[in-house]
Amino acid sequence: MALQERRDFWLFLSPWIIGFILFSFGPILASFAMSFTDYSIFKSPRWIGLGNYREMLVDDPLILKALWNTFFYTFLAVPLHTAASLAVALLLNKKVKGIPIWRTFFYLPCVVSGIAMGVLWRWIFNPEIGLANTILGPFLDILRLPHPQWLLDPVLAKPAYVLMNLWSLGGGMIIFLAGLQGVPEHLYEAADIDGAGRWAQFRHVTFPMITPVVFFQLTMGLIGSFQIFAQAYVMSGRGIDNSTLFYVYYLFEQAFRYFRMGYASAMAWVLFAGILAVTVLKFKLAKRWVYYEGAE
Amino acid sequence: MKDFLRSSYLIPIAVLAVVAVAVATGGHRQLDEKGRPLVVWAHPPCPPPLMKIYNGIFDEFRRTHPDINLRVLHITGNYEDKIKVMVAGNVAPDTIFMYPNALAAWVELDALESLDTNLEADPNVRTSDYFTPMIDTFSYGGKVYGLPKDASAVIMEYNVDLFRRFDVQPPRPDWTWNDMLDAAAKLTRDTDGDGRTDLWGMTPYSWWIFVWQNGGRILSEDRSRCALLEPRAVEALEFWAALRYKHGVTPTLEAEADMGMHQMFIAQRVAMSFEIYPIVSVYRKTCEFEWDLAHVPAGPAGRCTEVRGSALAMSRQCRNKEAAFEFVRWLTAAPGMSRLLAVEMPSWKSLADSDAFVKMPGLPASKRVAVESMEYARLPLQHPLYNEIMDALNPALQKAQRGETTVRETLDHAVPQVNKILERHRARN
Repeated sequence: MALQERRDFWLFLSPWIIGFILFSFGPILASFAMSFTDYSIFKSPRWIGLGNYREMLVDDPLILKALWNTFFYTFLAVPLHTAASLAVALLLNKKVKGIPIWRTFFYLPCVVSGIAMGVLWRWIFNPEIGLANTILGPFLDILRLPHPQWLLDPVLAKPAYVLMNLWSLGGGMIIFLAGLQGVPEHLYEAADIDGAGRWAQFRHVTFPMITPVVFFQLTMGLIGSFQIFAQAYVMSGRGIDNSTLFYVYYLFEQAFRYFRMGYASAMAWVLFAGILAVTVLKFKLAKRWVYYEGAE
Repeated sequence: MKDFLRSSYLIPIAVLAVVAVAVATGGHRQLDEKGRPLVVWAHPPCPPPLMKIYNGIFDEFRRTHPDINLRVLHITGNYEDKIKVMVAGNVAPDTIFMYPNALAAWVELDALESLDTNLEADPNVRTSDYFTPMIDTFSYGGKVYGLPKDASAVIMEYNVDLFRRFDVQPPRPDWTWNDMLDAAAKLTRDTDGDGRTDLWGMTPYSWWIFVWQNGGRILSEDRSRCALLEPRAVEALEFWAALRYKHGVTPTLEAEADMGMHQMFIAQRVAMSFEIYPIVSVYRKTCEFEWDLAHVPAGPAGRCTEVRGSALAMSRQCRNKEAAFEFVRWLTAAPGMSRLLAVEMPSWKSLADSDAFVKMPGLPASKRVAVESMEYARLPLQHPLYNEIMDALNPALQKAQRGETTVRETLDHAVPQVNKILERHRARN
């Protein structure tokens, strides 16, 4: 029986294991090897040692631009997205009439694919016919202010992406809701007896109890934001003056526009190292502010 | 192990293994079931009405060539990327569609078959049957890699009604840059009086045409460095950039993002448009005003324009070269192209000169301009790293076009980048 179970275990797991080895782990290893080569797919790779990494550091001014754009977006979008998700989750955690409808309403944008979202927001941000300026236009006209050019303005283009990112806060909201509902009721009762108001309850009970969820959201958000691609591909490409040249978009261009697979692989490994470093740092810092119930 | 072999898992595993082997060893066959050579043509994405015409052409080919089995592979999305992936996967189609700027990269990737041997062996075709700039555009390193299908060069389309309404003299064959600028300035207007320009004189066109027209070059003769910092190139680019930032005769970025240049011409928001010939078939159907064709104005160093168009090429992995060449030859010559005259100008000279094309109803009065432009059309930049070079130059020059920097400043920054790209290419080869 034990043998049968073991066999079944490996058999049912095998599609995933085989799939992972063939389609994920294999290519991951291959990309590491490729990062030391000059490789265009069509011809045999040529070993160039650290040439690609050297070029990234010394010879490619667009790498810095892409990194700056990506960091700017990430460090604006992730905290805002997390805060907004938490705020909406707090509102939707109230026991009021029609709450399932509101929750569905806020979650709905999350089922829209990145590409569809890009197409939609490209229209919203169109300076002439887009929804954003159609709504803002009359107010700006009264104040005699110019209409924002959104994606066509190198200064506003990245904040426009941050705004778009807020639209899909439903995923974070659902996770925060689950976290909020896991906060024991007796803690609020105790706080109430101690005379804590709403803000004090949030600060001293709710937030500490959901810090693991906040940490999870920040970590996943950071990893996702560093890899922003689909929306950029659809909405603005490199953007005016390379203002929306995000790191993964540039990596894609190197791989599939210029067919520089070696260079693109090196970029991918640098990104991996960067995300890993930031994540490790976050885990180190997490000890100072994340509270795990039951942990010592 | 014996238990495992006897178990009921064996059959599905065996089926999976057979499928995997079939997939791994599959690919295109050389002959069909009747023993006829197979020719796979990868057709680029095109709108349904045009596809209908092409289907008629393919049917005609099959009817007249019963000994060849033509299979059409409809490619959707990004044609070039998909074909490159097929080439890399060793399942390339036999015949492929080729754009001018892509040719050098394809040749360097060793993905194309030279047509020279077939051209020498086939008495039905000579390179002189095609417009010379078109054949040159699809040749590289002294070898012909594609037979040109449609011939195009950048030409001017202008709104006769608007010229008449604002009392502007229509373009003449001897027009220069300044004549064009004068006319564009007279046509640029705020027609509804809201304080914002809503009619522009002209659409912008490729900056390198201005460089050539002023005697400049994109790359040096030996292609070892970018030549845009040379005085003639800088002067030309300053004129080009000023059309937008100084004279304001070309639409703003916002207006462009709103409609696109073709739509702006159709909506009468721009008076002169600079496009390639296939746009004629669009304007014929959509423009509700009188319009005509004209030559691109000449620059200080003379007249020139840029060759565009497309060709049919054979992939290196082609299995039936003779049959594939026959398809390429047939489609680009009179039998194939005669069905496309309503939408494209043929590269096959005798067909372009024929009454069937020139006297086709519905064409603008100066329809000969398209054919005449072949006399002074110049080859586009052919370099295997074309995309990288243009990606380094275009955003920088657009910055100058917006007036955020001077042409000289932007080139001081962009030219060294291009030189590094060229240097990397040299080092690799």
